[in-house]
Parts: sequence; structure tokens; C-alpha cells
Amino acid sequence: MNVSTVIGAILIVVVGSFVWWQNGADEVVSTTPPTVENSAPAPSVIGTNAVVDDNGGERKDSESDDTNAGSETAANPPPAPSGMTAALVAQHGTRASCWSIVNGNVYDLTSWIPKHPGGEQAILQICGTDGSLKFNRQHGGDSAKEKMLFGFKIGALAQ
Amino acid sequence: MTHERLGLAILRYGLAVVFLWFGFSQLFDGLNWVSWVPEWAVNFLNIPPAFIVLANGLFEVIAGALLALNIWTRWVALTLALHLLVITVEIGATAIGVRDLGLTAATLALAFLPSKEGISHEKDSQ
Ligand code: HEM
Repeated sequence: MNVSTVIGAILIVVVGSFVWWQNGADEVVSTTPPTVENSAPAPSVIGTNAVVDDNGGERKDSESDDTNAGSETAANPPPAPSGMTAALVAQHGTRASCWSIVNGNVYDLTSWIPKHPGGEQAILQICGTDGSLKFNRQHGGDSAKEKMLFGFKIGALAQ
Repeated sequence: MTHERLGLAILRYGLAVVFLWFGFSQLFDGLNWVSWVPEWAVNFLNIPPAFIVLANGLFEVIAGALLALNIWTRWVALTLALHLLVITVEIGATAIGVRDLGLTAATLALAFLPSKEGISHEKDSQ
């Protein structure tokens, strides 16, 4: 091993540690966005709403905020009665824990609050509520933002 | 060490730090970067931007580490220059875009500089 390799190795470790420190070492894990797989709270809810789940990133249902679930899942088994209800979402209406319903799915937007390019207030106002109207009005039809939202999904809204 | 070798070492280490910093930042705080992911990339890959950021971060960390260690420097620099070119074009003629253009040129220069001055084609050739 020559001197230049040692310098290179030191650089990698120093830069890596510096960035880790810059980002607040212990917060790092919590800023990783939840994924559909690792954050699904109740498998039964996810399972019974398979149609909604599978199409979550692609759906263009901006016009009908609350009417979609019934018609889309009509041919499927009835949704689980318990799980991610609007009442449960309402309990997560703070900056510390911000869940929101958008087009029939539930999203944990807590980590997104300080990152939202349109400002914190835009997200804070939909914490604990159904944010479909506001999201669709601003970002409806923008597939990149719809897919971004999908990255925060924690489940489907139980009917 | 000749002036040429010193110049090359500075260029290589300097660029390595840039790619390592951006790569680690994307891995450690991905959400800070999601709004930079272009719409076409999301539609093309069909995965949430957060995952694109993580994959991009991993790529930049690995490539930056290879530059720092002088492993396959020429090919890594060429790949990174193309990668940066796409980013530069995407960002456009803003302060950040023009700065990225300079970085693209520097990375491309590293790929083309003569190997006898310390650019490796393979591991430990220096
Ligand atoms: C998970 C992803 C996102 C969610 C849930 C979200 C949600 C929202 C909501 C609810 C609003 C407020 C609309 C209203 O008040 O009527 C908003 C506004 C806005 N968002 Fe987003 N957004 C997301 C991603 C993004 C991204 C990636 C960008 C930019 C690249 C962005 C830029 C904006 C802008 C510029 C506004 C307008 C702010 C204003 O007029 O004050 N958003 N967003």
C-alpha cells in the first residue's frame, strides 16, 4: 500500500464521517423515508386493498377525492373494518407525527415537513386530515410528485 | 513528485471529495435531495424519487472512493463526467448549473490526462 492509497482511504473516512456529523448522526435513520414494505402497520389492511396498493403510484384520480375506493374495489373482498381509519390518522396531526390521507391512502409525511420545497406550512396544514383536495389542486397530474408521495405511504385507508 | 503529478493528485483528490460529499449526503439525508430528481427519471425508472436518490448516492460514494484510491481512475472519471453532464444539462444555465459544468470539465480532464502522470487504469498501477 503506497502513500497515495493511504491518503485516499483517509479522505473517504474523513468525508464520510463529516457528512454523517453534518446531518446529525443520530437523526439519520429517522429521515429515511418509509417504504410500503417496511412500514405497513397492519398486513390485513394492505392485503384487502390490493388494487389500491398496486396502482398507488400511477393513479390519476385527482378529480374524485373520496369516491374512488368504493367503485374501484367493488369486485374485491370487502375492506377490513379496522386499521388505518380516518380517526387513527387524526391522532397524527402534529409536526411530531404527521399522517395524511391522499386519494384513499395514508402517508406518514413527518420527515417531509422540513424538506417540502413549497414550505412547511403546506404540509403542516394537512397533518391528521384528508389532504387530497390540497395535494391534487397543487400537484395533481404531476406523476413525479405523485410517485414521491407514494414513497411515504404507510397503508390504505380502511373503509 | 513532479509538478504534473502534484497537479493530478490535487485534481483527483479534490474531485473525490466532491463526489464523496454529495454521495454520502444523499445516503444520510436523502429527503434533502428528492426535489432534485427530474420528472423524466422518475417516470423512466418508475420508482419513488427517494430510492433514486439512495441509488445515486451509493453510485457517487463508490465512484468517489475509487477516485480517492486511484482505482480505474480513467474509466471512473469518464463515467462521472457523463453523469455530471446529464445533471448539468438538467439544471441548466443557473449558478449551480454553470458550476457543475466546470466540475464536468475537470472530471473529463482527469479522464484524459496521460497515464504516466499517475492516472491508473487498474488497481495499484501507480
Ligand atoms: C410528498 C410530496 C409532496 C406533498 C405531499 C406535497 C403537498 C403539498 C401541499 C398540500 C401543498 C399546499 C397546497 C394548497 O395549499 O392548496 C403544496 C404546495 C406546494 N408544493 Fe408540494 N408537496 C409535495 C412535493 C413537492 C415537491 C417535490 C415540490 C417541488 C419540487 C413541491 C412544491 C410545492 C410548491 C411550490 C407549493 C406551493 C406553495 C405555496 O403556494 O405557498 N411540492 N404541496
